[in-house]
Amino acid sequence: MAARKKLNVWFTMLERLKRGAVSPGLYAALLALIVAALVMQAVTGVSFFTMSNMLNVARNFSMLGFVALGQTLVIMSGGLDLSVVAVISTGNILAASLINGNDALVFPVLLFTIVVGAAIGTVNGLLVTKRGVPPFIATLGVSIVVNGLRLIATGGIPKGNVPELLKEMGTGSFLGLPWMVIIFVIVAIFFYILLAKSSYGRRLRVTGSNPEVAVLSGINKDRVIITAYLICGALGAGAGVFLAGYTGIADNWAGNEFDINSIAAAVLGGAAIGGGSGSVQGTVIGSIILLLITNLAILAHLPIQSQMMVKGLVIILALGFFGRGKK
Amino acid sequence: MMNNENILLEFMNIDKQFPGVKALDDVSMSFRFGEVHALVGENGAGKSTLMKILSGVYQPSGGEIVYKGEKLKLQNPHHAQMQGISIIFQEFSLINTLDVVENVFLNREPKTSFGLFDKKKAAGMTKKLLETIGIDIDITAKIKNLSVIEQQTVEIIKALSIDADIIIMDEPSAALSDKELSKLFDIIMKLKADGKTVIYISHMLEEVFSIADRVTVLKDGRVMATEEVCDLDKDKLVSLMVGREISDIYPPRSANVGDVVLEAGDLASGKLKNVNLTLKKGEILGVAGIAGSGRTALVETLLGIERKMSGTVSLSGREVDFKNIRQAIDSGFCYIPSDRKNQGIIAPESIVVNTTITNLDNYVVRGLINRKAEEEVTKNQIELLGTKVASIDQRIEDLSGGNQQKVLLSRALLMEPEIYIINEPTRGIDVGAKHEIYKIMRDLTSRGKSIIMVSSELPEIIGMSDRILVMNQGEAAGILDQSVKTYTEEEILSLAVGHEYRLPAGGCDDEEEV
Amino acid sequence: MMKKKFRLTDPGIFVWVLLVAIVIFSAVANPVFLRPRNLKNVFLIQPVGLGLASLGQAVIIISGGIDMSIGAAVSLLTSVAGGLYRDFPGVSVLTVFLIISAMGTVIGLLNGLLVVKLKIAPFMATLATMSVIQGGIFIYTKKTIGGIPKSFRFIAEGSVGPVPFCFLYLAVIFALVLILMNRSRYGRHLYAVGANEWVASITGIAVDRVKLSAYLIGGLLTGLASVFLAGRMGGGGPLVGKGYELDTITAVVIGGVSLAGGDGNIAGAIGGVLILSIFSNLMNLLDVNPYIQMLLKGLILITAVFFYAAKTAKAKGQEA
Repeated sequence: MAARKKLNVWFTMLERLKRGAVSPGLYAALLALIVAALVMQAVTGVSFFTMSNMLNVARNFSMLGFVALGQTLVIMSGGLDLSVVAVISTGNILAASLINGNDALVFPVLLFTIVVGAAIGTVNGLLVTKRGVPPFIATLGVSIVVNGLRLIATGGIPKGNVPELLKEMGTGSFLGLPWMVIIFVIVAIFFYILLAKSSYGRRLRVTGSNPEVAVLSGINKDRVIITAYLICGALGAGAGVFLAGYTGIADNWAGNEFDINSIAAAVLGGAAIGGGSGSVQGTVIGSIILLLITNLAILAHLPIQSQMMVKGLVIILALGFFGRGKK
Repeated sequence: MMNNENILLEFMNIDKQFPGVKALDDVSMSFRFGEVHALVGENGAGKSTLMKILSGVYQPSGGEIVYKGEKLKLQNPHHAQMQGISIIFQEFSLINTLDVVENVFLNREPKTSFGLFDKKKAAGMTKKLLETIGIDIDITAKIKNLSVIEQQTVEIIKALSIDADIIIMDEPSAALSDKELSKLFDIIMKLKADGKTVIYISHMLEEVFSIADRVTVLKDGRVMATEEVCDLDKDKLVSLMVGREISDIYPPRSANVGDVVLEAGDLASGKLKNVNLTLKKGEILGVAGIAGSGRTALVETLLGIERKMSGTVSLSGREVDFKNIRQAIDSGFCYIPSDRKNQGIIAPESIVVNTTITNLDNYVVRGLINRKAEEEVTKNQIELLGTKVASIDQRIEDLSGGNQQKVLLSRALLMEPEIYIINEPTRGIDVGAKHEIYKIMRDLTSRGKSIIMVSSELPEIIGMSDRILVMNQGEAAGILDQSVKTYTEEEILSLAVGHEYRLPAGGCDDEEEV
Repeated sequence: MMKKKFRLTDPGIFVWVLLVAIVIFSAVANPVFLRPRNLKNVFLIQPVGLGLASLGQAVIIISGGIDMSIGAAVSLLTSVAGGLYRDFPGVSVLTVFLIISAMGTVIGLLNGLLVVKLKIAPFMATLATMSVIQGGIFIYTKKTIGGIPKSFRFIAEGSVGPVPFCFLYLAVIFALVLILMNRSRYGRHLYAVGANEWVASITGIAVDRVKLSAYLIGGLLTGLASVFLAGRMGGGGPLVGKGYELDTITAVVIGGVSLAGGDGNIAGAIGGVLILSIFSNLMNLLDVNPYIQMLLKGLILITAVFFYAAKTAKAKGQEA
């Protein structure tokens, strides 16, 4: 009997490792990438592992991380959010124009912007749940409208100044750690708990895996899904504000490419298109890998835009060869 | 035995093994030219599996098919069709967005001299085929705009258009009205007159007697008998189908049935017409009826999954109006749906997650799940119901059907409901596990819980129900109280199909004329 | 026989009602709209590029897929057209035409292989190719490439009698696609696969091959659209196709083709394209701020999917 129990314990541990949130392959990929970077640095002398480059990667990583976490939630719910570009850009413009250089306004405006992002996310969620509009087209439609509104409001030329406090948050450090990274780590821990430990996380996963069972189990499916879009919108808007601090300017298209980047990071981290699986750890590692690749490409003097190619290939690799999709 | 020249197709020692279940065991039978051969048996007896083998959907694990004197290995349904074996699935295989002509000739489109789809020719051929069976439908209509009998007609036309020798109909009567059914029978008689072999799957015995020449009875994956219909009477057929001592597998009914806990008056919804019912404390109310009779609609309307259009539902005298199933759950209901795979289990998740999903709030402290507590509860449930699992972290999809059902029962038990609504409690479950599930259900009633059990298995209905509500075309055809007497399958069936059920003259007379 | 029901709200019919309505509205809103020159531009020239690309999008959507890479493909192909004339002066029109069409088809092939062989959801697969192509263009060129000679520009600017050549170009291709989709056996198979893969496969249709072919046709049509656009703009560039994936989807959805696949008439897509063409013409005539135009276009898309989605969504458990 005791032997059997022991066997059960082993079995349980094995099961958990196998079904772990992050596939072992992902850690291996990360490690391989770091080794590749070291070799590259040794051979060509590019300055990859320098303090300034690392800090730079870390700040970019934090910005992508915010959005990718939101995207992960939406993908887990069975959807996809293509409106993040519009939301980030709008957050960015709102921050610069409303704060307009006044440090005292940073936090109230940050809060307000997050609310706006959440509202946009809610519209996405409503279209997807209440009308059954396919997520990609709902979020694309919403993003055109949001872009249109923002451009009408700014007349195409953004106004306003980024205040010093925000710039410090975007580019400064505390005890050697960039503020952005500190904020991101706090947010990521919160979302780790939300997804892995909270009842919402459980309901989100169940709803994504099998919406019908979710409904029959008394889960308010629509609310769970709308919440995912809402959070994604809120995170996107927040990232937009921080982005203003990082770049120091207001930009009508600050969010460009965050859609594909966030999807690539989430998918790379094991979020299955179609819903049901995904994790904070996976998405964080996915984001790091993505940024390491693009950073290496920059250091290797490949044209900046060609990074898009890499991202496309990463998606194909992640979905096509290591796909953990449902079907 | 007839001589071999009359035999079109023969099954020889067919086995079919699924993980954990032997669906077919050494099945041997034969079909003659130009006969209507009924295949009967309870749900899970293996009828559908056998026909899926004959149509190339499944491959047999053992044995062989001999067709027109030669061994036949079917690769897929298309291959079977090319050989002249055409199956009409219960869920039709038609393209909803295409019209009748396009469906009939899908992938066999006649060509014009330019190589295009000759729709005129196809339309002409379709019309001619319709004439041969004497039916008129709008051949330019899209399938989605046709009624069920019209869709079925299209399927038959499709089979005729490939000049099929064997046409398999899998429970064709399930969704048909009486009038439509007699139309279908007319068509079958014409097919037979043309020398086609029709395999007719049904559990409606009346239909068997009126249309079939021979009948084969399957039970638990084995052939019980193949008989000329003329040599049979209903009692004999029923005993062949059931053939099991009921007392063996059904635990005794509990004695103390209490007051009314649930009452529905003139309940109506899309598929439901003014149904009245009561459910008492500690009783099992069986809901019987043929497929499409409104069994599931009834319970789903009670639960608020389907909105009721009129009528009242009251719980212990207090009127309720559920807008969704959540409200029903909060009022002490629970529901175990019939489609375990799609509506029951969360396939990729663990047993723990599957067990606690409905009462998750009980393990949540300040928004976070107390993992220890839910594991503890899950372990208790596994012990309580004797669920066989390797570990509680195992994926539920890796369990056998019976153990999956036990996990779903655990999920229901944890909600501590007063009223259990269980749709097809033992579908696709082997006999041993069935018995255990019945014991759990009995145990619940003896503890004062009430159960509404929807089932298409009549022995289960008879063996388990204190009272039986028989549904027929959305109405309650009758309520049978089994505390007075134990009813027979026939009595329930005759209620389920209605007394006005008149069928064309039986196959035996025709046989003698030939 | 039953009479066929004729309902104006039927998406396949509604698009034409909408078209008539918007024509009348435009005529009333600004008389300039009715000037022959303007009418010729709106109906015969402007719709050609989007029309061809939308036909491709429609074929793919009917097959049960979607193509998000059309915009990037148009950018790449027009750039290559310009690049060919830059790098090989004197290259023949036919050679350029063939190369561009062939490249479009190859892009379609890649999309199709990702969907069919790697089983990636069509949306994600084509989004990835979009990204790859868009990245690739910038390696090829960062700026627009002009200098396409008159001989090539004939495709977009020439006339045959009073009729613009490009209109004939669209009309002929449209007729061919219409025959393929509505009259050929292949067309029936495409609809069947888009509506219900399982049923299609049990009738012996080679589902994968049909799906792959839809992407090939879509890619070819994108190539043909790029030929026109390169001619019309006298060159190409990395941003020429920007927004094309969305515009084509909008046109197709307005045209009553179901996003769930297997349903809708391809002619509706052309109706949708004409509506968009008139819309942008009207906006320009009324001198509407381009950002407001953008906003209105987004609202049109949302409205279109809002009304058609209810039936779309339940048809299939199609993700993304």
